Amino acid sequence: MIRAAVFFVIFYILAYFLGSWADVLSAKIRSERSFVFTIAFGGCIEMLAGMLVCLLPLPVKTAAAASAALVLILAVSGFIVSRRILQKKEKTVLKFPGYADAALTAAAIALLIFEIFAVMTFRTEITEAIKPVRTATFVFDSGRTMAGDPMMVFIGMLSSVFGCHPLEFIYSAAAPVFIVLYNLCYIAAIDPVLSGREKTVAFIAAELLTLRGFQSAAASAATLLLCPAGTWVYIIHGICPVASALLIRYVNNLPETAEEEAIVPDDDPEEEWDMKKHRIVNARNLAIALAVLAAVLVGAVAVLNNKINKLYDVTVSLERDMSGACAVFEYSGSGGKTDGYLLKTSDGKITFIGGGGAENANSLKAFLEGYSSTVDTWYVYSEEDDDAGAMRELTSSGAIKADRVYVIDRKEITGL
Amino acid sequence: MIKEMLTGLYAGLREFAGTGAVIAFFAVSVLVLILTANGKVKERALLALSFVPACGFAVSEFLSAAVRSQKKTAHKLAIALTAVAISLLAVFSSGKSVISPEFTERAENPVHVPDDIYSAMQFILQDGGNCSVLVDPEWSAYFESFSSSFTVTGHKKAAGFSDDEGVLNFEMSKTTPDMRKIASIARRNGCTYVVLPDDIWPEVPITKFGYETAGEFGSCIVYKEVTSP
Repeated sequence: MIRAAVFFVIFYILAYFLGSWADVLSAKIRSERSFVFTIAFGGCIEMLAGMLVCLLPLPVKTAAAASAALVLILAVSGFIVSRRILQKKEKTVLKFPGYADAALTAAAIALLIFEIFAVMTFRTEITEAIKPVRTATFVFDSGRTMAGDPMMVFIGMLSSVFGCHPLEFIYSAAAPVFIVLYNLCYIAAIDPVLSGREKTVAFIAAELLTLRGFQSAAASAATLLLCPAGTWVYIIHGICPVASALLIRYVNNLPETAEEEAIVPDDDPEEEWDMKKHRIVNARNLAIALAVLAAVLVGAVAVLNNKINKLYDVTVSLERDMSGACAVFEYSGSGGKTDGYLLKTSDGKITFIGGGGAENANSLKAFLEGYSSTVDTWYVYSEEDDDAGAMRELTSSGAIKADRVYVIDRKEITGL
Repeated sequence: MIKEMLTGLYAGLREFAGTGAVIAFFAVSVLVLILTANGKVKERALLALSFVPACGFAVSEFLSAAVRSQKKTAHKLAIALTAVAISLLAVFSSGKSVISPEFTERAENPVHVPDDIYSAMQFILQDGGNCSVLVDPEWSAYFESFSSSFTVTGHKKAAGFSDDEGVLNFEMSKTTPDMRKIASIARRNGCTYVVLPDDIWPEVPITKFGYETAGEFGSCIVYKEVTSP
């Protein structure tokens, strides 16, 4: 409980300061500053910064220190930049979301508390949801971060810092932090398009959906209450609403900007076409181009990832087929002539025929060890040293273990 | 590349559309977003980017419209209640509950794993040695999430799903699994332990095929490979 409280307080203090970047963005797009949007934006950025650092293969303590340093740098720089920008602009007030109906608001808060309580208290038997946690467990056990599911590596790092198992961390300290954050993201998205009671009703409906929707087997990874610390949950319940909120705020202020531009008098109708005023390469077009590029890149990565996975599956099945089929390998002795054959049967058993004299011992040992150090059945052509010398040398020294050794009577059948 | 992207998108849509009505709910919500735009098309359409809030917005808008359309108090109440019922029906039919009766059992341990499996996992880890385990596919995620020391055979359908795991999934779905096959899969994959539920009824127990009972933990039985002394 203390651990959960400490994590909650630290996370949201940092989220508030990181949210200064949201204030900077709000000022740039001439939108009102919103407390909820600030915290939601800051929380998402905080997690993103942590995840980015965790993708580097580092000892957990180093990764934790680097993550903390990055978050602190971003928070402090955001705070300083926002103070400077907001001083230059007209005085802006941090807006809290207004809710007209106290009963509905209380119901929404009660639902939120129930969600947190349910995740922290009840057990789940939908195992698909906890499958990605193995990455976090690996980080926790090995004490190193690695390239993998970024959120799970981040969770592994955090659970190491807090000294508890990743599953315990997810269902205790992380659950209230993440569930509150994602609900703040919902409010941030709803806030600019609705007001008063309607806003509360929409929020309650969204909360009910987190309890009901998404629970198909295919979408369990995106279900907030099943895996509050999942990557897909972060994208769908965190990034998407915040991006939506930011775009709505931007678009909300576009008409005013257009009117302002329309009001600006045209000083000189005969003025020549000013390339600086009508640049094709402006911030908006650049942003659109970057967005398109990012979408194409994401698509390309998805396609390539799909292809690599298919290639991997084919390789695995090919390897399985090759190791599952019967195979024959030829052994050439010291004289360069064929002195034996190795048979690898479909059940993995090794049979060797031949071997030659003791002078072949070293080369035969190297040959056999390429397949197995145990020969299940060894056939030699005779008990003479010329044919069984290598076998005797290897089995008596213990270099190769032979379960059974037989002599083949190489008597030719003639007159057929 | 574009064709493959579109094919992937279509396949993804089919996979999700086939398993939950939430997609239909979302599609209706987007329609509501656009139809109720009232001169604010762009910003409301952008709300569609945020999946859950978009659905919440549609419910809110529907309820508001239903309440606003009535003038008489009694009718207004009836219509409002009907609208609430329809909205709740839409929300509740879009998925299945996370907090349903089978999930309202309290977690017995801090890692939220069923206690029987938790005890079995701790037993195997404390037993020392090779933690290679063949488990009921329903439980493999618990083992892998609990400790990286476990080498698990018995995944449900996933990347790297082997033929052996296919056979294991099939056998474990039967009431009377063939323990000879399960034991040979375990041995082929070098599994020292086999962890199975107690509600299966094999004709011949696995103890006849080279594994002995090492521990019973409620509904979870741990078998260990018999090795020569």
